[in-house]
Amino acid sequence: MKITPEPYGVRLRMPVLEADALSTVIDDVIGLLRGDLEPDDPVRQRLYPAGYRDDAGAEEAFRELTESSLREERVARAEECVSDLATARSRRGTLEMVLEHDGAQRWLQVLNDARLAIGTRIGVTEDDGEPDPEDRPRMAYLWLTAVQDALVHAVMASR
Amino acid sequence: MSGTVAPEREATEEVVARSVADPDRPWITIVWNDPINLMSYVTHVFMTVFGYPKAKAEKLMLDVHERGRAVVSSGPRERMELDVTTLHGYGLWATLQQQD
Repeated sequence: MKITPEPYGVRLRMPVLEADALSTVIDDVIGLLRGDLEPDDPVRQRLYPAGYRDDAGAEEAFRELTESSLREERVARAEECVSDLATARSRRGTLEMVLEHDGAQRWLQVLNDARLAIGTRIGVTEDDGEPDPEDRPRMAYLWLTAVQDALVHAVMASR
Repeated sequence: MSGTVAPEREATEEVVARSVADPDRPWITIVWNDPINLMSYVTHVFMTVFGYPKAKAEKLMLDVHERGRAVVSSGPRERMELDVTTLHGYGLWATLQQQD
């Protein structure tokens, strides 16, 4: 994948196969967000962390107020990203996606949501060392990490 | 001996004082370190959400990374709840509390 800053936002070019893989990952995240996660599921706790650490009453009210709207926000922006990929122009096996500032921002958030979900599920730590190439979830996580990092730098350069 | 008794009493008084909500003490938003959020992304979020210049955003990000947490904003409780909600929307691990 090649990500370049532009005056209006960013431009992404990637093999169609990579775009398909990205679409599949985001679809999986949408499924996970729509499904019922148990309250003690680490993925749920990471996607919807407590706002209050030491005040159970305030935390319950905070969660009541924020969790479902945050879930809807996440699903909506992930669906927009899937739609971006579906409508992007592709030629000779390369897909080109042009994103304005708002779209690039949304992509950063959706890539982050995907990394939070996968990274929490596989138990990422700060010093995991060399990954096993056969470990597909971990390789997918590292791929999303590289894409997100490149996108952040392109977004910062296009400010 | 007084040297050993006095600090204990002071400590108890401090705990009592802290547990009573003082409306004048400001609220703060804290961001906690986690192994998933990228350093570049966290800097970008601080710049986007709070409008902080890059140098300030990077310093806060490094505080989170190296010290485990950083106070990123302070103000009325309602505004801190909004900041925490916004940061959760960006996937950061944020909490609010009244300042010690």
